[in-house]
Amino acid sequence: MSVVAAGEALVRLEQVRKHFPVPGLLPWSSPRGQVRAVDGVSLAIRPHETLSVVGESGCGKTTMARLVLRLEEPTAGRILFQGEDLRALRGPMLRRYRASIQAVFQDPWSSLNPRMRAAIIIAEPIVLNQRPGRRELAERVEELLLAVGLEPSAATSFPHEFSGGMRQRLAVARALALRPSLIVLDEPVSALDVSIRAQIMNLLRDLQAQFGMAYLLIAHDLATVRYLSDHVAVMYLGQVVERGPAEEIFTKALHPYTRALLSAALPPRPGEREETLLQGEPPSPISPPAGCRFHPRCPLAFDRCRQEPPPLTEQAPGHLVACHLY
Amino acid sequence: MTEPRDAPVLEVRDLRTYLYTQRGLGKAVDGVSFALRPGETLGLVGESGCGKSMTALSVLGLQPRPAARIVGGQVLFRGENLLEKTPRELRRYRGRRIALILQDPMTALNPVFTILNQIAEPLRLHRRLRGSRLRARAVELLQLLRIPAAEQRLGSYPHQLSGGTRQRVVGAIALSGGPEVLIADEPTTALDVTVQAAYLALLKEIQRSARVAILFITHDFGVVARMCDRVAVMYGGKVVETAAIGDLFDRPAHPYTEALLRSVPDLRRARQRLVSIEGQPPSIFNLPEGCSFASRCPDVMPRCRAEPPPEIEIRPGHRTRCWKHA
Repeated sequence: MSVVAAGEALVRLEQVRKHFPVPGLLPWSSPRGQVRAVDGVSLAIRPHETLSVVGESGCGKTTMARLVLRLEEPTAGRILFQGEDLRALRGPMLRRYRASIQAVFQDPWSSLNPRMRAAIIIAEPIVLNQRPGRRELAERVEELLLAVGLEPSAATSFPHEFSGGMRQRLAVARALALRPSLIVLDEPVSALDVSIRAQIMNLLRDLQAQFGMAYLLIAHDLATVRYLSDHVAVMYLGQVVERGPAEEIFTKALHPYTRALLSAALPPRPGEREETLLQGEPPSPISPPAGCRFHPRCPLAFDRCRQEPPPLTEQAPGHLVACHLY
Repeated sequence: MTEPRDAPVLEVRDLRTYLYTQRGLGKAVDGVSFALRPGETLGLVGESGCGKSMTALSVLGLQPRPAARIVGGQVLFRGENLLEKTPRELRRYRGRRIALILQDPMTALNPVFTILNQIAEPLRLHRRLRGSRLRARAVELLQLLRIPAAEQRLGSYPHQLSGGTRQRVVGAIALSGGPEVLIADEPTTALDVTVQAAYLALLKEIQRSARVAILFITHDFGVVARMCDRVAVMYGGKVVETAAIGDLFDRPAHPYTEALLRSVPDLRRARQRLVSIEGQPPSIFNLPEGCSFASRCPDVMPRCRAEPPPEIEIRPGHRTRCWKHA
């Protein structure tokens, strides 16, 4: 079992599992099974870099993000932040961790408190974690507004006065307020209009160049992922089936699922690509198929795929794939 | 067939649907014209709030009342103006000759009725089928949409089906009346990429065999590239450009179309900077005097702010509303 090379990782996941019990029919009956949302994932997020996690709904990518944010506790395995186990963090150490990891969520209509003015939304994390003077606080709020491309005069507005793109800028400003070392971006542009997406994606890249934080990007849109990522991990039914440097994944994808995802992504121009269509949909993560979890949909599956789960093996430096073909 | 082969099945002329609300008058659809020919797919593309869905609803007389009112124009179905029909007469068109597929299959299906129940309704109303013949036709329709184990699925409830299967059921219901026109309003937006690809391929195939014309409403140029023969781009309640698909992608005439096409990240190209359109789309409650794209347009001229551009034919079948081409 390959574990990510030690050393330079900011956040490291080691064989992380997160299972949720499926409640029985009645409140007191025993659980009917386990949803294996994340089932043995090892990954590393390096400082100043973007790791993207791609996959279809139900593949466990959002649960993974929540584990890194410590909104969920892993059922098994370890998550290390700068070498320290997240579960061991208590009190001030935990506060420090939370300050250095921030999140931007998909829907800026529900992620911002409608009763707070923009300035308060941005200032809240600063006030809670540091004790700045009134003047300093106002300056920092203004700096943050400018950094995300909003006018300082926006400070007194409420979220409903902003458009979707501006709201997402506000959410980014709040995430940026404590100068975190990692921002978890959970589908940051998928709720936005097409003409606004490019603005936010450019902004995210500029901010990373300026402030140097790492991103954990959760997305289903491969084009977005390619634009923003250094490393990519492809998930299917709770497991990483392929990971590696972004360019490798996009130009030399190995796993049949990754290749199907790439071919299913829509062409930017008409009539360009032949497609390998996948039939069916991912099976339930409650009772994943035996052997390779992708075998029922895989066009290349053979006997061994139905029996033993393929391990992640390194095919090129840093490029790992879990498939019996290799 | 007395009409010439190329006569449109559905023609919308200068349609105006206005919203009368407490915020004032909103010109949701402000003079939209397009024609849909038999067997072709016309894409109606635009961002949220551009009026594309309101146009679709107005065609069927389903605009949300009492706020929305059709204040002008014609909707010609095989030469007959649907806007002059009584509600009773309209019901002979809806579902039978013009069918509708909406974005979210979970809300389009009734959660407390079985699939059979929901397919049976249009078959009884429009095809006057009963008993075993109705059941047989229902199974046929599900099979046409490639729903596995169609017979057993008839007894299922919507929550027991996956998202992709639900959208196929919606498709089966839409096709049950044997429509000549299918209006598909973002039918794959709620689906995963691989599921979306399979659904689009299926829709295309069914269109060919059933010779149904599709009005495909979407915000996604990837979907357009894969599905459409011709495209109408909407902005601020108006169609700003109409062209054949190849023409639109190769020689976009309107600055909005051009910018939109360039702001879509390309899966095949690495991390080059995205061209973004600054600013926001205009509010329909406060449309500018002249061209509604003027405030965001890189090629703006004084005339653009003063008077709205007329529709100009720049080459056969390629029309745009832009002063640049006057």
